[in-house]
Amino acid sequence: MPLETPTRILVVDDDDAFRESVCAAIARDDAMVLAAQVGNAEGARQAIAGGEFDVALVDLGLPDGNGIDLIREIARTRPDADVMVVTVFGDEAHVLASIEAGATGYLLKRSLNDTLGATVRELRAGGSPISPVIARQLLQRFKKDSPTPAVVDDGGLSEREREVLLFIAKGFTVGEIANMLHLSAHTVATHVKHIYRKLAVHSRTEAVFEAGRMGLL
Amino acid sequence: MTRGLRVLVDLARALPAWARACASPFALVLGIFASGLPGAQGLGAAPAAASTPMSQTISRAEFCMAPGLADTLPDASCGWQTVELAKVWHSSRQDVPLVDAWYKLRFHLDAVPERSLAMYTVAFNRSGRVFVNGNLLRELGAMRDPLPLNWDRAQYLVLPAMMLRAGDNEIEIQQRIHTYRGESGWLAPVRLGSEDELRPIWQRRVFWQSDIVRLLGSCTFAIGLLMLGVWLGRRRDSMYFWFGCMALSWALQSVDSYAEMPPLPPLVWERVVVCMPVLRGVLMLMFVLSYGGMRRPVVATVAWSYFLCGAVAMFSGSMPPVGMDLWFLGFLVASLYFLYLQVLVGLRRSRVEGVLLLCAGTLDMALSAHDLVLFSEHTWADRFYLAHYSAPLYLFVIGTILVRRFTESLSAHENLAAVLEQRIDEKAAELERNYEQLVEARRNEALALERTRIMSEMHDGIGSQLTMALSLVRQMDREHDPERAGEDGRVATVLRESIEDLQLIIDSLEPVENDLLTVLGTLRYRLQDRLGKSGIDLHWNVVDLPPLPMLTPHSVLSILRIVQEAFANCLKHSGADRIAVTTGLQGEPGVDEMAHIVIVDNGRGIDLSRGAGRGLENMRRRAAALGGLLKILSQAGRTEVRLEFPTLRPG
Repeated sequence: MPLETPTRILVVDDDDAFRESVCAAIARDDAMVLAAQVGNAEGARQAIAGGEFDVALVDLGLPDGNGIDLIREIARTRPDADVMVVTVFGDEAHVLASIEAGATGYLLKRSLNDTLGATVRELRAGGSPISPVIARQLLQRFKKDSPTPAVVDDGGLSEREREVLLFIAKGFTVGEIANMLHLSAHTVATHVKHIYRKLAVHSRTEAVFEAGRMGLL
Repeated sequence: MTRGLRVLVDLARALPAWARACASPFALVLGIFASGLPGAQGLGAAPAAASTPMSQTISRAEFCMAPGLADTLPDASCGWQTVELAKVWHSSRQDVPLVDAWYKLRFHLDAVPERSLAMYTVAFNRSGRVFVNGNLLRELGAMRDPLPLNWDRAQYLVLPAMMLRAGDNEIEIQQRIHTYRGESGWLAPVRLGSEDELRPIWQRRVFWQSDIVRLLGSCTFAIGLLMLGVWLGRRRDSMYFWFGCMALSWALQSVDSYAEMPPLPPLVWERVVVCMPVLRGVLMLMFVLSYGGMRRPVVATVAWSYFLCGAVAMFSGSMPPVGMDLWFLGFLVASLYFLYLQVLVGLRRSRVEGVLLLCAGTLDMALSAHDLVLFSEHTWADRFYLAHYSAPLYLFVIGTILVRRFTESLSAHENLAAVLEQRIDEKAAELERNYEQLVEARRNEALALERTRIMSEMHDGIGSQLTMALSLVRQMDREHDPERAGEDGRVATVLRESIEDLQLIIDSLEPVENDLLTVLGTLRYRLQDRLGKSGIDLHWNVVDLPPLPMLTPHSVLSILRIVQEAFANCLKHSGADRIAVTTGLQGEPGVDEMAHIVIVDNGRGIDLSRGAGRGLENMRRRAAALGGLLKILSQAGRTEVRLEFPTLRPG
């Protein structure tokens, strides 16, 4: 994607060396520009309030706060921005919690140098990464939650989305799925992002519903 | 009894013949009976021809009404007159309760017979004494007030030979009746003959007229008690109550046909007997309403009021004769309506039931009408009361229907119980399943909690530290040798592999829902970048597998390590540019089913003759721990690593 406005990246991580290497990776890539880099939640809040970014890389474990809260705040105040959670293992527990909070992508810390540019471009273009375990958990999540009365009907998964998740859970790559379903790889990745957004809405709805039930609203 | 009924009878007799054989079966049968029942008529009548020389019918007698009660034959001043038998008489005296009349019957014997003679008459009302040639032979019933209930009985007497004489003989008969309500006395023609000839005739008549009624009456009584018993157990089902009352009222009424003495004072008893048909009609109505589940409170109230008004008027003696007539007339009309209701109810359940009820009800009504007519004639007749036969039949039909209904509901109840039991069993099984699921869920929850804890330890602890170390080392590497930026040095590689191994352990703990493809897919996902960088084309030839219960975190880790090792061999040493992963199942599910994972590359092959390296040995060991085995076929251009393992959870 040449000659487009570079994507502004906000980096939130308490690991200085990591932050430095991210900044280096951003600096190497013309399509990205560093918006801000902060090492704690307080700094992150100010940066979020400033709002001058397109993609936020957020580490979950911050010395003075929880990354999940930051993700939620960004999702609320900057719905057009993308949040990528930075994780060590990309494990289901961390990733799903982030997606529920509003994240639409994630990065493995150790391979960040290699993948940051491609992942950010894909994300800005509307596609999200997904692992088989997360796909399976998403299927499970929507199936399990479907009988609960939602205050706002999020519609659940479409048939196509369900199909995509099922293939991913079986280990097929986005490219293979695109072939099988006669779609572009990008469309498949877009489906994934939609599913992530649905899960976030779903979770918010559920939270509202739960709160209502508990008499908080 | 009543002028009104006589009017009815006259009406019936005045009906033209076509009307008698007319529209409704009821009217037809009623017509037949009102005009006299031919079948019953001849039962007691003797054939005209005598079967023995001595057999003769005396149909003429000397008759006189005694001025008072006298135990001896009145003299000529009594005013004897010759009358034809049957003779019917009554007294207009109201000052005495009882009044007598005398008959003298003459007959001739050529010689004193060797054996006793028998004397038989179809009708004799009411008590009396029989003398032969002036000597008392026998009393026919008690002579005191109240007189016994033998007003419609046939009489049979044996005249001992020693009381007879050659030539003219005379039988003197004293007959005593009540004076109230205009009771009549009567004597039907008297037959003389041998005992052998007359006894069977008499016995047959007694059997049909009295014995069988006694038998049926007893049965009806028992059925009535039984039904009341059923009702006591099931108060809600009032039909059993009404049916029981109906049966008892019939049993009571039938007493009149066989008892010696009235169970109540004669006047009261007579009124009870007269009221009984109307009471029975009302009880029948109540039964039909209850049986059919109909709610006709107005009809029921009217019927009861009708009955009670008449009964009260009758027992208080204030019922005028015309009132009594209308009472019975109304009852007869209402009976048609009851019959209609009853057939309606019967048809609602089944055609057979409706027809049965219609037949039995019609017959009963017709015979009752016949009896009413007979009763209203209040005189001798060579016919007897018939409703005693139809009523038990009627009750029997209804009883059968009730019993059928009872057994039906009983079996329905039993079926219901069986269904209920089955449902309970199902529920119990379901509960058990739910409980097991709950236990399983709890266990999974506990495992998940533990897993989350370990994950977060690894993530925030050793994982973060290793990652931090890796970034530091890479940073140092970059500073030290900027030319090699992007390529890991030795320390960085060790760190990266450590993280990758940790990653494998963490992946083995991920929830994969027992899906082998998710396990393999996870590994593929992790290796994708590296495979891509090495220019290796991965063919994912997997088939969907059913959930494998053996995929515990432990076995998942074993499989991941084996497959990872196979991939690592391809990546590091083989120089392959194509790897195919295949999955499949063999054997019988639940018995010896084996899953297999086959990884084939087109590399230069492994030299197996050099003895297995540490990597291969580890793979075999892990395969054995899975209860499976590892097969490796290698040649230049094709290396196949085949892992087979049982799908059942070990143990």
